[in-house]
Amino acid sequence: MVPVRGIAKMSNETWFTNERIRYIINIGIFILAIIPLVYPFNLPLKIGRTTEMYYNTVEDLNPDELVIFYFAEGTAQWGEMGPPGIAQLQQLVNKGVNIIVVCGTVESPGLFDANLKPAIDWKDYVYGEDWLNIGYYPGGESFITSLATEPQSAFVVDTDGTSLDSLTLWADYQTGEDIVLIIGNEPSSGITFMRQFQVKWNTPIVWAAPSAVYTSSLSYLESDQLKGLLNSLRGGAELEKLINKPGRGLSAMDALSAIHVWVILLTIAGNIQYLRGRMK
Amino acid sequence: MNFALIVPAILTLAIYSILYKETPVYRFVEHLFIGTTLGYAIVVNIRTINNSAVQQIVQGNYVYIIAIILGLLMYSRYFPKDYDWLNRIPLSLVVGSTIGVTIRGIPESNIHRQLQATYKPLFGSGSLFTDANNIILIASFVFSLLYFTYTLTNTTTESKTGVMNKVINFGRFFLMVYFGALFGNVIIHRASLFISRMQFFVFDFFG
Repeated sequence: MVPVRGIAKMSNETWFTNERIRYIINIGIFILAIIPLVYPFNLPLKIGRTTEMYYNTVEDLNPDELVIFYFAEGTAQWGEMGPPGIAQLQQLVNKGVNIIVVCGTVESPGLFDANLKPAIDWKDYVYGEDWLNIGYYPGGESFITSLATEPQSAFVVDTDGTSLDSLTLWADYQTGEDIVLIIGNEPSSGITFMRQFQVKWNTPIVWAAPSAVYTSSLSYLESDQLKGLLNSLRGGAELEKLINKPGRGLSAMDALSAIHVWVILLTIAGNIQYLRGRMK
Repeated sequence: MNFALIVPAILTLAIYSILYKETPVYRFVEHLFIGTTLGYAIVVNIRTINNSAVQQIVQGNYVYIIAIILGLLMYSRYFPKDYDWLNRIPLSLVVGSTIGVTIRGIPESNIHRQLQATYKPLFGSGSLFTDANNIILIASFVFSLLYFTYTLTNTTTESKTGVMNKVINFGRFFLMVYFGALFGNVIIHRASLFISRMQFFVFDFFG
């Protein structure tokens, strides 16, 4: 067992080995994740500024306006980005807007069909008339360019292979100018949509980003390139609360807070030990 | 109990066994995950080729035959050496067209709009809080940018007490604040992924 450098030096103890400390941290995280899920603390959840901006932007939409819902998550991100995705799509359905679903990764069409679609209360939405899913197309930025400039000639079938011309909603989408709002859920800041849609058509964009990307995405909010931003599971929980559809996001908040407190305590304890070691 | 719940539960536990140590069970599930993902990706990509190219040809857009030929040429790198250069043709087209469509939006979205966001009134906005926010925003922008001004080097002994050194230290301070915020959010990111698996056990498996 390898002793932790600073701690072993200052206390001459070898009990605190790297392995043992790792076990303590992991067991702590495990317990603090499980307990609030079984016995919720019901801690208050404050709606953040960026989520409020997101919510208000979508609420300002009128029924039957055309929007793009861009879903580009993989299975590994579903746990974090699934709940916000469900809340995002549900809010759009609640507003009664027409939705064009676009998938941005190889895994996202399957995730959409298996996890996202069944979780939505579709009300009286009819596929092809009120919403459609063009699925995944390769090409990255070129794919987004085609969406912005020439969707009618670039895409001929939807995700299931049905001809898009047979879907009445498709006729409403001639160019990117017809899109009133872009709603994204991707591990990025939506920069490709800013370059291809916003620069050309001045289309407003709202986004849900994983926490690791959230901090850097804030600069786009400051520059008004994003009209609203959801911070992963936390943002999803806030949106669930705002649209009154409690889900996995809200149920995770107590556990998330407990784990945060645990990490803060560990950081403080580690720094105190480190400073004590240096002073000795 | 549902088979669709037992399998993911066993696989999740096997993956988390890495927290104890790397075991053959962990390795097996890791390879299973990679293999499954790859298999799934191949199926989706074949369907995508059908949707984006084959269906176009069926509808009379024969120009897409060229796209399929170019796509197949990508594999010419596995041809004998005399012909492996052929893969450079589609590669050049992909790289060139991507640069072309990307570059037109970069100045506006990545530079102009970001710069405009820093044009803030330092005083007189009516709110002390907004004024303070604007000052911090502009200061952090200027000092962080100056931190990366490598031509005004700061490593020599003479300049350590100079004005530039203090300016750069300010820049470093703001960068550290950013990294701190980023670290906090990365903790949320990791914890969220773990909690979602625990939710699976609590709500789906045992629920």
